Amino acid sequence: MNEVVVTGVGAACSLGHSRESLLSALAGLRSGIVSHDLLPGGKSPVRAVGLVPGFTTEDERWALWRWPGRFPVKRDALRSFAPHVLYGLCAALDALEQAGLPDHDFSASEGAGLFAASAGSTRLLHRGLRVMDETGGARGNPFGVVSAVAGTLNFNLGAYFHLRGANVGFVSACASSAHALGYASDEIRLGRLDQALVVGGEEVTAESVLPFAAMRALSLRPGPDACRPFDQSRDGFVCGGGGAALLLESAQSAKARGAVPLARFDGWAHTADGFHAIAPHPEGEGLERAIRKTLQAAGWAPARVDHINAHATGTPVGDKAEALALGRIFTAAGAHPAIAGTKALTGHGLSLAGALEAVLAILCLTEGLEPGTAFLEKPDEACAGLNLPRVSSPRPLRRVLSNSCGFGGSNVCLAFSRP
Amino acid sequence: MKIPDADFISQKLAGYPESALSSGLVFANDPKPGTLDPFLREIIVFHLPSSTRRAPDWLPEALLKTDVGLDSMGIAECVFLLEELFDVSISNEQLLQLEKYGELLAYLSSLLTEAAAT
Repeated sequence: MNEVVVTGVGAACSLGHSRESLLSALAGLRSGIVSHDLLPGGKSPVRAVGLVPGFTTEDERWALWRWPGRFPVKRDALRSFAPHVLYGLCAALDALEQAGLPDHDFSASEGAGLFAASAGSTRLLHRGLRVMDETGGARGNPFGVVSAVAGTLNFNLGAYFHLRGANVGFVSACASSAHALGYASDEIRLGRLDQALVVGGEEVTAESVLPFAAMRALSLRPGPDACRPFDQSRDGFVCGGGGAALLLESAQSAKARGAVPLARFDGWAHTADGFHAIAPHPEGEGLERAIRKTLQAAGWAPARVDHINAHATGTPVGDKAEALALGRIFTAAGAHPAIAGTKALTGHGLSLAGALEAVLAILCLTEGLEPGTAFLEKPDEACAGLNLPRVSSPRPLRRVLSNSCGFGGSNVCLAFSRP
Repeated sequence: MKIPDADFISQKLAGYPESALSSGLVFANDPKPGTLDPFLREIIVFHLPSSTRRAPDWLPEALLKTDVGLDSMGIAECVFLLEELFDVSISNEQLLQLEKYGELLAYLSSLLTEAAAT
């Protein structure tokens, strides 16, 4: 079996669009959440969201979009993009540059693939269907399908980078891009691919956010401290948009190129609750099994884990279930890894979350930063015994986990270590 | 066909190069085949893929794909914009007849002449 390493990471989210801005926000626990009127003149009480600074993508017409000038985006490619594809592309360009592949053209290789995750663009779908209604079906944007449906990220980025080994999309809600990472690593481990670009993306619009308000799942706090993972006062999650990308490759591939691995991808596992379409198992039974299987795959005892990037969305039920699962594995074994809920800063990236939090976990690993959980004042009683730092601290980290859970009871755990 | 006014052209061409917008406004002020021609060229140039973008040959017999350089989706996107701008529906059968730049210009010019006459 091939060893899998990560040689490049990039992200554009509410914390910024460079690795430096992300690390700076993590170190200072600076929230990227802002108060924003999603539906001007509307009646929704939801205000807090994580927008993506540096990008202008509110209009559905791609000709009006703007992005940070340092990203060399081919403008004509935008015509079939959704905004989150642009975020994901910029994240991928950063990851590939860090990996030493600045020309980002894989067309010569059959060993490079794309594993992507997004929920599609409900805004572009909404606008496209409006044209259909207004014209009685006589007209429509020729890019209405490929820019809006859930595969738009893989349709567009696979073509953009000329990836020929694989092009796959994942739809398991908030576990999607964690699943993409896991399956991409398996393809490399099994020798089917040499390199895999893994990208997650989501956009924050009225169409993508307010349906969650109808589920009563969103925080109604208005400001940057709206998302409060593990805190007794938590009242729901906050949507955060953006893109995140990681380049995985076999250790042999990285060595042959002279690339320096940022992290080793030691293993992963996924499970299902088999319980409910929306709610997690109340005791976190499925997540517990995913974490235990990941530890087994990585060959780690609980005490060897230094840091866990928790799923921790800030919902009353979800955070409690995760805390109970972590307690049964780690506290019961006398292990106290530093657990952090970074969604307090980024918001919940939904399909993006798994990839974004893998990027954050790897940045912490490489920089020796133990992140804290912002806005945590009185932890839920279910957190008893867990190590939940309130501030970030410089500290060497060797092994980290990242958890993701999605609708339908999907649970994913990823394990990374310093090479 | 509805001849678009300056406001409608400005709205539909938001984000397009200034040259496209200004040729559109010239057309709006004096809608006729002679002002439609440069406006149509600007629209087409904006939808050329960068990989094939070159100085197009605007001869009437220039083929939109092989001579001008539009790909099939670029043609579809141009047609969608033209349908919205002029409030017309171009059927697949009509589109198949519009292989050359001159044919597209002549088709839109004939609609324009009809609209002006009514």
